[in-house]
Amino acid sequence: MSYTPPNSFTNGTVLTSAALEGNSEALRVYLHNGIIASDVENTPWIQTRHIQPPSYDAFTGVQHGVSGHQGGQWAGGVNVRLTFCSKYTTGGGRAATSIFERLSNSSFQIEVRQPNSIILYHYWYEAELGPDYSTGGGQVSTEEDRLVWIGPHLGSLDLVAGALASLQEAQNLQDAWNGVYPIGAVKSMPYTGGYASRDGTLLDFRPNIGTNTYGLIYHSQIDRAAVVNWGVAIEVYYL
Amino acid sequence: MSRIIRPAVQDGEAIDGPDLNTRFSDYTQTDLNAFNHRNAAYDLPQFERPGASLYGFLGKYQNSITLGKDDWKHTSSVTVSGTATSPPAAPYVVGDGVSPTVMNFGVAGQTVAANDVLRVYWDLSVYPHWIGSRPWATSDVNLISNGGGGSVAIGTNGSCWAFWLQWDVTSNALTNFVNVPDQGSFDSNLTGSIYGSALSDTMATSVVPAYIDRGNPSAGTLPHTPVQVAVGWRGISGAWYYPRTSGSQTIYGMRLVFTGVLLPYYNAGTSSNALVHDTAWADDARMSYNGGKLNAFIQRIG
Repeated sequence: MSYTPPNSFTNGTVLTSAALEGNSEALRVYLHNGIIASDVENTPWIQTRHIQPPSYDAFTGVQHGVSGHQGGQWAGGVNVRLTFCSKYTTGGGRAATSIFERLSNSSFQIEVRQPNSIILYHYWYEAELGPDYSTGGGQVSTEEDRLVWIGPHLGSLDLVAGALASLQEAQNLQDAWNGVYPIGAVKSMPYTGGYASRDGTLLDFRPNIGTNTYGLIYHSQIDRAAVVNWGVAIEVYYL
Repeated sequence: MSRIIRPAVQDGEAIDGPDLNTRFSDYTQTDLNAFNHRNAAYDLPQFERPGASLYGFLGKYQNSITLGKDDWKHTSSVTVSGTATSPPAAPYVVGDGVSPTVMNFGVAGQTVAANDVLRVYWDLSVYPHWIGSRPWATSDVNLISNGGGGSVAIGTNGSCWAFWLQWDVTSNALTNFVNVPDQGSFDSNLTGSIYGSALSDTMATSVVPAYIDRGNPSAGTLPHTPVQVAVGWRGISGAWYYPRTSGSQTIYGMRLVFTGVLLPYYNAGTSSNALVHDTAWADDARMSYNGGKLNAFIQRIG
């Protein structure tokens, strides 16, 4: 049914903020989600063509509509998209460095078209880390203490703005390479600490419209870590 | 039909009841028109779902704070010991080592109304470890034949620490934290001297292993002493949803608490599985942690 103000006002009576805000809130609810079938059918000035079809970006898997964004992407079934971390792009494993790099394939760049928007960026991944028992100078000396940090980031310039606290660690495989055939890790990953299954959600509030980037970043002290399965998803709600 | 064109209220003008009414009645169906409200303005969440009288999603409120001690390289961490007393002591509150971390929902709190859902997400960097050599060997092991007539004790790898959510629904003084619905404190006396919570009371819980013990079997036997593997620093995370189908609930604050070490346990009296305190080696257990995030989001779903 059409909007009906819940409160009316009379001269000479106290004007309360509750009554004023009550009308505004009811209007906000109606405009956002109070439209029923008869509003459209009885007065057919809203036609199907006026309902905005969401724009869909096949590359990022995200659609954008009037009320916000939603969508996601993942490693994929037969078309598995492995991604990786490496110490060689974040300081060579030196303990003193704090360099971050993007985790390939995990980012969204979205255009937020309403102020005061709420963004939730969800992520999960499985990774197999190391073994890295290299002896280069400056590295964390105890091999099992070498870590990879993976976490969410926002923004396009500062890779770690606002998200350092959400970095999650995973540990180097606690056995070195097998010296004889078959070459590989001496023990399988889940038994020796070199396997990580992590997930999390970043919540961000955007007071202004604009283009924003959400994705995963990493800092690695391990030479190679394969992110063998992963998925990211985004929800954006315009208030 | 025409656009709604009405001058804004100016400073110095008297507030007039009829004028105020008109400003709201402008938004009747008649005056909501193509120019101001129709063209490409509607999305599926705005429309009625047939038979359900519910509408789509809408964000109402969000809050995000940094949990614990924000030091991602662990230069300085918060460390506590396992809970060895019986009945168990109150859980630890995640904080920066000086003050607990509390999410404050404001003086008036935030209300989760009927057809709203509260969504909470958290993450934290943790490091479960221990002192001594395989301290769990007496209480948390399976005995496996060593192939020579004896046996070798290997940990069950079932021990864990549990983190869960509490909220304050009393006042903004934030002195009345209780567990969120469907969540226990792992301090219920299940039987004898066993204290814990049924798994049905762990709906807002994240667990992290307390240790890893690894054997190297051979032909069904365990000829070698198992190797203790450091769990190491790792990230943990959790999520909890609170849908409100009727009435409302005002929330003033939330926080994350934890206890340990816990063991899986089958409660024959209630035919249910539980996590219970393992006091036999809790004195040797340690939990260190640094930073994380606590996120809350109230969303209208109807």
